[in-house]
Amino acid sequence: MQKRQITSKFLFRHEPMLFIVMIIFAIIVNSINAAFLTPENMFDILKTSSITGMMALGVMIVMISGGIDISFTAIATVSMQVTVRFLMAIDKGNIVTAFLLAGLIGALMGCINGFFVYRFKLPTLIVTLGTSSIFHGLLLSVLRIPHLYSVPGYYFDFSRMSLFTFTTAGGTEIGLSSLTVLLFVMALLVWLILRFTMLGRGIYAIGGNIEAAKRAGFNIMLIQMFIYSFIGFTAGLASIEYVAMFRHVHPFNMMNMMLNVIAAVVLGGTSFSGGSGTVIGTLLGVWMIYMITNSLILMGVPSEWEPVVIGFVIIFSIGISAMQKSLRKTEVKIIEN
Amino acid sequence: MKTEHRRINIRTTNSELNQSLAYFALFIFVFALMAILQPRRFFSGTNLQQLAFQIPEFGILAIGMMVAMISGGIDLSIITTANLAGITSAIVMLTLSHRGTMDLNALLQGIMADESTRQALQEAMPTGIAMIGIVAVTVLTALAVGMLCGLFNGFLVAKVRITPILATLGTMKLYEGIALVITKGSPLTGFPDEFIFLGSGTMLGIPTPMVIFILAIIGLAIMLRKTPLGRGIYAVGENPLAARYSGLDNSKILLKTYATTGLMSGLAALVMMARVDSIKVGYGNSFQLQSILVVILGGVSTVGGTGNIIGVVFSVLILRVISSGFNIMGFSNYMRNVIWGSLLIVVAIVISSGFSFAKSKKQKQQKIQGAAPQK
Repeated sequence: MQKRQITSKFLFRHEPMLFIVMIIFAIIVNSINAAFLTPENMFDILKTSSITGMMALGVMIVMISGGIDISFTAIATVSMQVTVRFLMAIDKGNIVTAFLLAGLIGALMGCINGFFVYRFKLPTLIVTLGTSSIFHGLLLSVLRIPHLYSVPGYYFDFSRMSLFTFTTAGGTEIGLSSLTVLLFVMALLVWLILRFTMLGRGIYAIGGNIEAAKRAGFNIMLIQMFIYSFIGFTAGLASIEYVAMFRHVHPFNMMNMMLNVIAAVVLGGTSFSGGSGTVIGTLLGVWMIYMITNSLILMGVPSEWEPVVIGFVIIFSIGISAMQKSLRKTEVKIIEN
Repeated sequence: MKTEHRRINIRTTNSELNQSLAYFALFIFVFALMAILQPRRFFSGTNLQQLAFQIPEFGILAIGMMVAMISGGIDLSIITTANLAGITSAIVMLTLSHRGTMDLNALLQGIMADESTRQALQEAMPTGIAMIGIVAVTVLTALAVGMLCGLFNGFLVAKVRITPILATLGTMKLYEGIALVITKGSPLTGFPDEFIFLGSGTMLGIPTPMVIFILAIIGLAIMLRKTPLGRGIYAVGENPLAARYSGLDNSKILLKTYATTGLMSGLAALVMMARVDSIKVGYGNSFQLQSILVVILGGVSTVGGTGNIIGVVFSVLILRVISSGFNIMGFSNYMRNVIWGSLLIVVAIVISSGFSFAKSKKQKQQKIQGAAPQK
């Protein structure tokens, strides 16, 4: 009996299961196209997925607290535009000031969301749907020229930096990109906050039961303000990563990343009804999404199939976790009886 | 016992009447405001006519959204459902009416854009009863596809137990993807006149889309008020657990709820594509935010369980009148989004605080009246 429960517990854990699925998936894709499981491709996935990963960390925190934020892409777009234009206008700055400024702007916009969610107790979907169209609409009605195709060199220099490099058998030099390093640093920070601070406990507590959290003495205002400004902060950082990687400023491209980010978080096992979710799971979810899109390209699937596949992946993964949950519930009931 | 029931009933109808009157007053106010601000252009024949033709497609989508939100959920996939339903039915219609003269690939590659071939093709279409049959098949296809999409949403929400926001966010992407795979993003156009009638004709002087909209309103009102299903939708929205313990089959009700929403999307797709004589992925994207706004403005609680169709219909009218005012004043699309977004939050704040007040008042009254009848 004891043994059976342990194995079932392990199977119910999301992260090991997802990891196994990823490995099986990688082996299958690699047997079709051997270019998949090469160091080049793997490091490329690590690099390109870091923007989504950065935003996913913020979305995960919001979802752990039982809410949803769909305004983070608008926040990212606005902070990207404002930061890059401002630093170009004063003709100063470097990559550090860019990241800090964008993060600050994002956090301030996130505070607006947090204010409405806390003060008026509105559904988070309604608030962020509203602020999303306010932020993006204001930006586009103010801007004369929404695209910038030349940005200062320090953005690109940053994306070319690597923590370490090595040469493969094929002779190409690859390394762990600074964008990925930044993602890892933020992931570590989020993990520390969630794991070891009162704030982190509070985020889980709010997601479990907000009324109980209030009675237990958590400062709901502070926690919710932190949650929504933090997702704004990560969106700001992600926007500068976008500029660094693609070397342009675009008013719409980041808006389309929303569903992929949410899909990655859900795929990583964060429960939508709040109260559970891990950093490792989220990172695995992000890489899984990128492995899927990358493998579609390598297998020669036409690009218009991508939304269909992503849609299926979202539905399938949420469906699985929803079913796991109801299974777990019945198990608890049996034990109680 | 019986008198008690009756009194409560009368009271609720009274408050509903008051609410409808309030919405009517608001509508008149907005209408008058626009008329005063821009008298000549607002009252011009083309503007009012445009309004009468444009309101239905949005209105039908909004009342579909309303059904989902009364049940305590939401449907973010209404627009892409409408796109998919429109595209599949357009393909059915065009292949049926060009049978033998044109194959599907040519259709999708947009040969219709050439004016002379287009006219030749139009003339080669069947006429009379045959054409009416084709239009009927088209209508049925759109409704069926819309309903199937809705049923799939309902399946995910009711059976797999996924949160409605996430389930419909996923299907939103999925349906859009399928529509993109079918059309590769190009528009379909060149529909027969018998079909165009649904979107831009008139019946006894009333625009056909308006007639369709009114029929849809009546149908939904009857369903929500008079049928067990309608009562069930309210009950599930109010308190799913209580609904289940009082013997309702929640998952069946939710399935039917989302199927209804999907059906409305299919209907809206027909009206939309018949009005502009084309259909394409992405048509009506701006209605997403607006439909949620209208439903909340119409008094449907953001957590479900309350709200009626009259409030939502008046909100649709109010929103479209304001929107046409924006048109006349020359606001950009982006500025409009800012205004709709702000309005959404403001309305949600006002309505939610108003509702909590009304609820606490109701609870107090119940406390004062005591639980005697129950015991």
